[in-house]
Amino acid sequence: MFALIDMNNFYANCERLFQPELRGRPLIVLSNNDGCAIARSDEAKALGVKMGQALHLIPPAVRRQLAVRSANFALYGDISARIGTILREAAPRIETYSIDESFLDLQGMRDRTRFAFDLRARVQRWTGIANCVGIGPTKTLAKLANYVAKSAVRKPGSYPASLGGVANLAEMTTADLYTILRATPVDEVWGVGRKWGARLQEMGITTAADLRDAPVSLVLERFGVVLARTQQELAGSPCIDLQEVEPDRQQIMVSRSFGAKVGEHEAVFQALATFAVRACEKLRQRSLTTAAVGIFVGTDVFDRGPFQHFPHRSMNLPAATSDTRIVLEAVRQMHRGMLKPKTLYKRAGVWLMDLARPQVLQRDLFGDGRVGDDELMAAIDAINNRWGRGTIGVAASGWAARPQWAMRQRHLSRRWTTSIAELPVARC
Amino acid sequence: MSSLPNSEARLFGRASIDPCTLELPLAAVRAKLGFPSPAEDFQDGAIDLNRYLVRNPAATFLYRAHGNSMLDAGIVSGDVLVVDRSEQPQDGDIVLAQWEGNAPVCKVLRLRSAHMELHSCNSQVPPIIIKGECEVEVFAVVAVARQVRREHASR
Repeated sequence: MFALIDMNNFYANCERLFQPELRGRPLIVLSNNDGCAIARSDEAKALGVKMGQALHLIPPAVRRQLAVRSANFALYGDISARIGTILREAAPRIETYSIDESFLDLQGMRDRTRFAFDLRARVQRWTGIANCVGIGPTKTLAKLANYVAKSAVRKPGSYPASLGGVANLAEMTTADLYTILRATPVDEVWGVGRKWGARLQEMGITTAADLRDAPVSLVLERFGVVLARTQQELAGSPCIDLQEVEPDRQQIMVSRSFGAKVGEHEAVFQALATFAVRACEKLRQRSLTTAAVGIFVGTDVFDRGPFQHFPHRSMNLPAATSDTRIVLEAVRQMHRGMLKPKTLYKRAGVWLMDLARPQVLQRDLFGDGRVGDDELMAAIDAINNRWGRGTIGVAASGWAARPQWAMRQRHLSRRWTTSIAELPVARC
Repeated sequence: MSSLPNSEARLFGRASIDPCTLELPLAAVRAKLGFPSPAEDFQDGAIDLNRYLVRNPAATFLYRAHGNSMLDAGIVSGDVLVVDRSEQPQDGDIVLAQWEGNAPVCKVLRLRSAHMELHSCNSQVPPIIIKGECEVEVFAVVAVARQVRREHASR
């Protein structure tokens, strides 16, 4: 038995925690570099702002009514960690599915609906973030139940009002459950997505109930085993277990667009070096090594001129490593001669591939299959964890000076919960 | 009022309540007689101020006090207020209150039969009366932290 707890408009509501003047107002949060809307308050949704819509494409009449904030991940990360603490205290097994969604294992719990109402109220009271909880015998049904709990509040009439906030599909008559599944569009089912949703609709499978009751052979033949598994989950047989530990990744990518266009060789290299440093930190956090490095840069795709240039390079390393200096040397070699003169670049990225756990590495005939100074890297990570990122760095990234390609965050709110100098003020 | 200790923002750590602890060793109590000291049973080696000030890290937020209406309650402008959102505020508690999109205020909570009042600890400041129908969030202030330095005393 599973529950899915999902925060309502998480980033927007985090911003409102310490900016009460934003409550009840249409609010959007912008992606890195202030490009497009990645979160919207209910009021902004009502104005027709779309997810992922670029700020400069929002009509001026709507734009004028909007409060706008740059993504403040220092804040969202802190609130998310607090919610994680509350959930872990409430249930022994949880899976953090995203920054604002978690699955909980409710096996052996008695009054699950009561539990969900309590948990929902506790998260709301302790952190100030409104949320909804869905319960079902499978993860797919728990996710669907969460959609029901949200929609029952947001769109009155879509589902029975009694399911608002908390919806438990596990304690329902077969007929009631059928009514719920019939009212749920098939592309809202977890794992279906838009592409499959469109194909299913062409076949006359338009609701979650249709998918559940479709012939298994047909689903297997046309869509394969993944959707067949979703179908089984909709019917109440669990196929997908909690992932308490993040699975090993195939690659790690760090890329950003620059705040300003950059032409100088050295400035582009500094950006690439900074991303390489960050990628290596992520690598070590997951206790992985890399054996291949790629870099890319690109000009602004919105410049319709003839000077577009999107070069990329990648190389295998002589041995697997997690040492930032070795990755940086590879980046330096690849970056030579990569840029065209008199060209302005807008974007760059570094990706690490061929990731492995050190334990499973093949030993090389001449050595250990692995190079680098693990102790030095551990020391650097420890210092940066203790004193803040960027305390110690590798000189190539120019980490101390504020570079010209730094991210644009014109509407950034303060670090209310992570910096003693930026605490919210209480009048007395 | 001007002679009161003033405290200004001083960096004394991150506001995020991570499990890093500040450990202050306790001096052992020496028994003068042949009798074992009863205090030895209570000696556990270290005091963690975070644990003393913050009982529920997930629900605790820090605010900076600004203003002098709570001086008689010992809250000086510039102090750090430790607010525990999981604590149920009761009549007479010092609270952080927030309503109608206003900036939060720190006052003493007085519960009346049909409404609530927010009192200052200063007879010249009249209480704020919150009508029953007004939606107000009230959280308990569970601790006040102030850094005291030599320069504050000499003012």
